[in-house]
Amino acid sequence: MAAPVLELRSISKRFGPVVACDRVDLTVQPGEIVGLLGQNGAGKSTLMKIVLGLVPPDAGEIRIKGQARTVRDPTHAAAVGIAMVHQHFSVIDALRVWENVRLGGRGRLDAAELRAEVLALGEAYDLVIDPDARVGDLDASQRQRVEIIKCLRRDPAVIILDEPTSVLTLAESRRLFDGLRAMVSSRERAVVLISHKLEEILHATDRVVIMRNGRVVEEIATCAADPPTLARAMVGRDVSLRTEASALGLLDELTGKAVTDHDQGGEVVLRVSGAAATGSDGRRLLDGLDLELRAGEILGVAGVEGNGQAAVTELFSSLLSLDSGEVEVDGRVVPTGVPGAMAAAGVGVIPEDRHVSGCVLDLTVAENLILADTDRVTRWGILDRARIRTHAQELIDRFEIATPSADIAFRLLSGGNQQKVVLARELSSDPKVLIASQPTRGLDVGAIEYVSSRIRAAADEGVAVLLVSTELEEILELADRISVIFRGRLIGTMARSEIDLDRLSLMMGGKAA
Amino acid sequence: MTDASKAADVSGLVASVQSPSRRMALQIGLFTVLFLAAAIASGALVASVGGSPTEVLDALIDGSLRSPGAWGRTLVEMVPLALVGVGVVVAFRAGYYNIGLEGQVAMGALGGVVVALEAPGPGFLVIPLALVASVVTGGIWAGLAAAAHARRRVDVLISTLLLAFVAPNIILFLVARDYLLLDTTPLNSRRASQSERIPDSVHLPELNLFGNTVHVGVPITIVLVAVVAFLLARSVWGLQMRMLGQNLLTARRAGVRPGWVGGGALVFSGAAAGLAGGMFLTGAAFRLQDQIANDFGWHGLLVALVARLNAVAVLPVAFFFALLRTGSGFLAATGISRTVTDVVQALFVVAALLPGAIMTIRDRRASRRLAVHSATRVAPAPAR
Repeated sequence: MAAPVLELRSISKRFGPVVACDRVDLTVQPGEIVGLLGQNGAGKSTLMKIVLGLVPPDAGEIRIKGQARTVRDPTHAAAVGIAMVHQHFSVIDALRVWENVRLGGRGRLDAAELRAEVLALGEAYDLVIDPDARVGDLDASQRQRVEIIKCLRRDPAVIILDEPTSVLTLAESRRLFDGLRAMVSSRERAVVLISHKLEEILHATDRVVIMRNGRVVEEIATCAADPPTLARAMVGRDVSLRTEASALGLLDELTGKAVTDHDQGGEVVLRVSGAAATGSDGRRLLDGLDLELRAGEILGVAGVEGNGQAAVTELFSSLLSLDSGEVEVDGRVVPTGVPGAMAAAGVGVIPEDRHVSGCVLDLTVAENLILADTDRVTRWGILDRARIRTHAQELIDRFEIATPSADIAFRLLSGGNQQKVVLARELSSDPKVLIASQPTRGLDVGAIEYVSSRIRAAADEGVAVLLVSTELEEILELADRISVIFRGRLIGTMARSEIDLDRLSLMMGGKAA
Repeated sequence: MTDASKAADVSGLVASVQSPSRRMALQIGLFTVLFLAAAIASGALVASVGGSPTEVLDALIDGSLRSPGAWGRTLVEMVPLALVGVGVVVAFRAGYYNIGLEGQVAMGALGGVVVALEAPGPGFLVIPLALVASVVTGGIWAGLAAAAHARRRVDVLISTLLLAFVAPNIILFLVARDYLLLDTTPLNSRRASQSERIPDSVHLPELNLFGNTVHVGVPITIVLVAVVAFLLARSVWGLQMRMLGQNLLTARRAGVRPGWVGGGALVFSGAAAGLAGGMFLTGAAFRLQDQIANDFGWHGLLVALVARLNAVAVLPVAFFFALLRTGSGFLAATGISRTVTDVVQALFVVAALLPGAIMTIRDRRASRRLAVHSATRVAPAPAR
């Protein structure tokens, strides 16, 4: 066998008391696709950051094409043959595809040559794209193609893809994997695919490396692997709960026989009719969105990122006013875009990015727990500190928020605990409607389980829940009914028991079925 | 969540949070070192222009504290600085960067002088009326910026700054016209551009404190600052203001109306600056001219920054600035030019501002480390 293209020997990295990577060995041979599997926080990302030169390792050796290297930074990494497609793209919207592909390079710009190169690479790897399109006009999967072409141009020995499918529909994902296969079959090249989804690892890789708690716990040929083994290795125990199946991306588990329709007898508490809204740049955010939500049910809104999900959350956070259409809560029309109106009408929101509209980082945990609901702790406009503290303590206990005190800055909590604070605040104000947007994004399995069970419990108590997510697993796990959002409107709704993944996937791609 | 993961969470947390006492010690240490450095640099500067550093220090202390009646004058000087400062604290906390205080002080004095000169009646009625007029005109001057921001998103930083240069020119126009505010009494035979002196009956009443004379503005200011500090920390209004300043979107979702709460904070800071102008007029200047604001606006802005937007800290910091202002008046006697004292003053401001800046940079680094932590945090231990 030829020398490995990438070899990591005993790489270790600590952050304070936390061991992110503990003597990790990893070998990547030319021509193979290696899956790097692990939960959030298992050390996958840190390991790849070390390879890219973003984080210096504490100990260990990196060998690239048989040669020991100290990778200084990503530019240096690219020069020695390592390229990475990040989860969040680094493309510039205002520039054209061929210009973006050239970013970071030096010397004279040759537009004709670059165009030809984009076309040739697109042809070779099934990544067809118009070199003259403006990146801002492209959808997420096309942008990802631009990123990949940008990497391929430098003819890297190893391409690392970090959770590449989070912005893709199922069909697009499969197409991407076929493209990866083409990349490694023709050249002396290898691909490392980082993921926490078992399904795609099984589908796309030759070999799986599983990390847990900063260590490589198992290495296995994909053909010899099956989901339960991988899941056990990844979590460290047997996996049975549906919640975990969703966290691990086991779609089959979620669409299987154990699914029953939830009772949908509640009254309609949220009705949106003909909602249309335009962004500040003149783009259509919502385009005739209709929706009905009953007490006690969870309606999942699936869809590929960028189809209006953000606008839905903003609408219910009173941050977006409609050009036309109405929102009715409990039969009463609620004005849109008026600060506090939605909250006052009984709409709780768990925003997609809590740092943007869910909390105030520099206020204390206790203050963050009363943001929208100061009346209960106020007399004559003066805040009653004792009551704020008891209120906070009660919620900290009830929602098992790990914090040394209610009076420390919210910013100091870990991500999972920050999310619990948001959840606790929104649920404790007895909402009629709860909008949950990607409520488990970036959380580890324990926290995912917790947040999911809280949302389920809220629905069982009669709260109408609208779950907006680009993670199909999250939706399949919780929702009673599923709608697909496409270009600012909801297309088609199906009950839990009627779910057909292929049909869902078609709809997410805009083909009404 | 399991107990084990809870423990992991808390330990990750404690490791990254520094104990408050260590923070405090560090900050005090920084202050001391930087103040010494500023003092040494100032001494070197004075020596280099041929002065004697000890003489200069003596003069500063004489002028501000030691000579008869000096600390009373310093307290009176503190009034406008503290009022402007506390207004800035409020506006900045809400995220409305009003830096045109100098103009608002001047407009406040203008409003005050019109009432003081024109309103008939006994002093105990006219004085409050004049001060109310100051509050209103100062508030209006900031309100213009607030309205422009609410309606057309005009940047507050820029509009307030530009309005600050408009104010003195309006005053100059008014005090140079004999049919308007120009002092036409025989005393002003050279027709200097200034208003008539306001009658004695509308001078702020004076108090005698151990041989030092201060006007009632001093206790009023102290009470006002205390009230604002309390409201900022403990009222719904204060909470809304802080929410708005730190996270506009969260604040809006929680029902804070940026136009009212934020614009209100801006108007409040203008009103406080206006009151500063009114008190300076009725307590010390007694007549209007275009330079009435006398740098109180700029210095008050610095007071708030040095106080790190802490309302309580505004009082001592304003006193320190007042000390430098009254003290430097005595420097002329030592033969040192006024420019040198300005540089010395600036050195101390920098020394006072730096520890805050350093702490902020440290905090930012720490939170970035923390972000890396939580991104790479070890997954929860398996449940048993």
